[in-house]
Amino acid sequence: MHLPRLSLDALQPNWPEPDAAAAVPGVLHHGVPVAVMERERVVLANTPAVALGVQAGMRRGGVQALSAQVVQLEREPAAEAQLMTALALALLHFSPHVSLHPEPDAATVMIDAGASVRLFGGHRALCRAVYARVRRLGVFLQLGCAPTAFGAAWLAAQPFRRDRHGRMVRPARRALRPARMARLLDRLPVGMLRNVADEGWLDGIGCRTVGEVRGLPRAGLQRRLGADVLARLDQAYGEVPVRFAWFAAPPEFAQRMELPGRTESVQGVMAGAQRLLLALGGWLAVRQAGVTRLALRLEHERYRLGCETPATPVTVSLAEPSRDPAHLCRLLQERLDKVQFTVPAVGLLLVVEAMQECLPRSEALFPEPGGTPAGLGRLLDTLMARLGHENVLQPLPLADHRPERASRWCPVDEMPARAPAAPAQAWPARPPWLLAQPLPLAVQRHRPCHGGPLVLLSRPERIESGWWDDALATRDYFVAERADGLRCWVYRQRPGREEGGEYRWFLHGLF
Amino acid sequence: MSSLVSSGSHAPPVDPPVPPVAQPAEAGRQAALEALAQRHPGLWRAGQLGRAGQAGSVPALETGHAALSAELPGGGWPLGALTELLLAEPGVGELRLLRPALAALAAAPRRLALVGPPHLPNAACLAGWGLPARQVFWVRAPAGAGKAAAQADLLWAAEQVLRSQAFGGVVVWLPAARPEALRRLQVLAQAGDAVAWAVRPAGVLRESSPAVLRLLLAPAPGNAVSITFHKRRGPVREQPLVLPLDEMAAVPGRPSAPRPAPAEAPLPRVSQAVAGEQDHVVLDRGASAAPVAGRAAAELA
Repeated sequence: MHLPRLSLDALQPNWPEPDAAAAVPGVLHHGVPVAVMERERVVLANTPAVALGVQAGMRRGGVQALSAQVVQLEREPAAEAQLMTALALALLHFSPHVSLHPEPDAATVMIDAGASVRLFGGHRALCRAVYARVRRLGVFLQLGCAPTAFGAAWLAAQPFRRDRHGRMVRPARRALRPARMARLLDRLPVGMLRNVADEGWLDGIGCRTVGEVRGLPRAGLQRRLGADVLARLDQAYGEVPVRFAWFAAPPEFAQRMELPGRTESVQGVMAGAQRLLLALGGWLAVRQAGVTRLALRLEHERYRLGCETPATPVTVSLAEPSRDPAHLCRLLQERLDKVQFTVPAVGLLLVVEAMQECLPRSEALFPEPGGTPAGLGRLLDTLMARLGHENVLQPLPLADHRPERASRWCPVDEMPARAPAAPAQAWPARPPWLLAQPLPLAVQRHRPCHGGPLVLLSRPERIESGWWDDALATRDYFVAERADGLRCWVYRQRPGREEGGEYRWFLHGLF
Repeated sequence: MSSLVSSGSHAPPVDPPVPPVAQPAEAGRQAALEALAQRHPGLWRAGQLGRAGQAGSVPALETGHAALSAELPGGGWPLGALTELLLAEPGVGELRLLRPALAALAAAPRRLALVGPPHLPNAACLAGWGLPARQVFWVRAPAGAGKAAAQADLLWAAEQVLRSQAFGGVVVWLPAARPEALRRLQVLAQAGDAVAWAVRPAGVLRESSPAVLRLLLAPAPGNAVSITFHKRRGPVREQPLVLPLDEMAAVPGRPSAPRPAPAEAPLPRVSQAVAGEQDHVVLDRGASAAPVAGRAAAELA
């Protein structure tokens, strides 16, 4: 993966959704001409700027003279390094073998995905998946594919060329067999060797392409240019083995990024957070883990309000560990919607606070209509995590005459594997609602009242039970109706020995 | 109107001849409307009740009460949409009203969720109704939480339940939910095929609601429930429907008051007000148009 516009993308991300980007205040739009300067010289300019005549190597004054509209940004190596790290982390999703190109300014990341080609559905599908994921980081990307790492890096980095009609054509960047790769590499311009050799000198001796350089006598080439050129050529053509320094994911995930401007909108923050979440997805993939709690800190300008402004934390907790950036993105969006932006954010810091091992699910051919059992399990996990497991219940009726005992509910995670058969219903009508505590009713003219006098409809149902477990119930239950038709289940506490012989009425249920 | 009918050039000219202008405008209007309905079978007028297989119909689950099904668009509780049940106080027979639908869902077999009921659901009663214990879930707010926190928790739980699409029927009690929360539930319900009932106090009758069906339930003497159709895709019905419930047949009625007539004569499909002067009806009537608002307030007081 070669990023030809790294210095520009690091400063001004070009998100792939142009309409979303246009709505984000603070992010420069695509139509604005931008030039990146380093030591008073233009390093890189975007398409509108090139159309105005800006070229690499121009001085600041020259650009100013061409057009005053060109936005001149200073190059920031730190931001570029952060972006490369984010890219490498995001690519860990595809393979644990990710390596940053050793040459400075190469702006290239190499991954060894040979073992994962079948998993991702073939070369083309893999390339498409890599391209889509990297594009969501907001960078422009050239992707090369070859049997050797440095060969692929050269294929990725080769510039666009013009055909004989003067049109820009995209060169072939994909080679699966070594023979085709050698043919493609032979055609590359000598400019590709600029980091290991003096391209002007090679041009001076009449070499136009890499193939011509390779055809020169090796001994003479080594004497004049040093061993680097030959070593790199051999590595690229796969004639000597290469040792790579693999990119090692940091033990703790805490990635930071500067937002391109002061941002007060959820979309602006989400556009930035997406890059961090993609990096997080790769980091979790290599750990075989899923995040259960993560925090996004919105950093503000210091002393904006005249005092030290602390970062605003936005925490997302998950019951089921996940490493899907799209899922995390949705969750984060919901949380961000609740945040009041009093101070614009200038930076983001994504920290993983807790994670768990997580294995990817196997896919089903036909989705089940009522959701998968795993889906129900995830839902119950989520509910129990927030509400407590004693608040997610299933009925487990008990054969007992006392209604409050018969209506037994059991936490979902403690349900017996084989529920006992429901007790036979030989009883008179039972109400669907029970009151948690029986409500004492006032008595007027010997009739119980609940918002109005109640008329007893049924004959008494006598329940006398529980002398053995200290919850003695001696009650006569009635179905009663209020004048407006509300049907209640009331009982009369029969006088016990210690009571004065007076009937007391209670409301115990509602129909 | 006549120009509108004749402008459909793509349709074959099978419609009856357009009456001349000299005839009464009413007859011409009726003829034009009939021609229009004949030409576009999918045309639904706000004054019509969508029947199953006809214009304006929505996928629905049979309510199990013939008199109620006849009054609902699609002939039952709408699937993949939010139904609002407004109660002056809990326990007016709302679960007995839903019992046939819940039993049908459980037999499908789909899962049922009760989110935040105000009283304890009686497990013995649910088992007696034939709802399998494995398919019934009761979700309640943590004990000791404040009112607002409990409501937020329950809303969140209802959203999760609807989002998971693992449930066929969701009954959620929302004593103090804002209309935005209802809208979220409605959007989530649309994504699935569950029947979602939101039970709310009658006091929210004044607020507008995104629910496709709003019914005000009140108890009625003689083992019945009185249903006022506050919002439905169909003609305005001012009189409440007194629906006798099948349960508790063994319980004798009130000795003094005789049982009222089981149901009123059904209204014509297109109410007169709609067929006559008005071209459209208000789908979500506000408080001023609600004939029952005063009564609901009195019940609350």
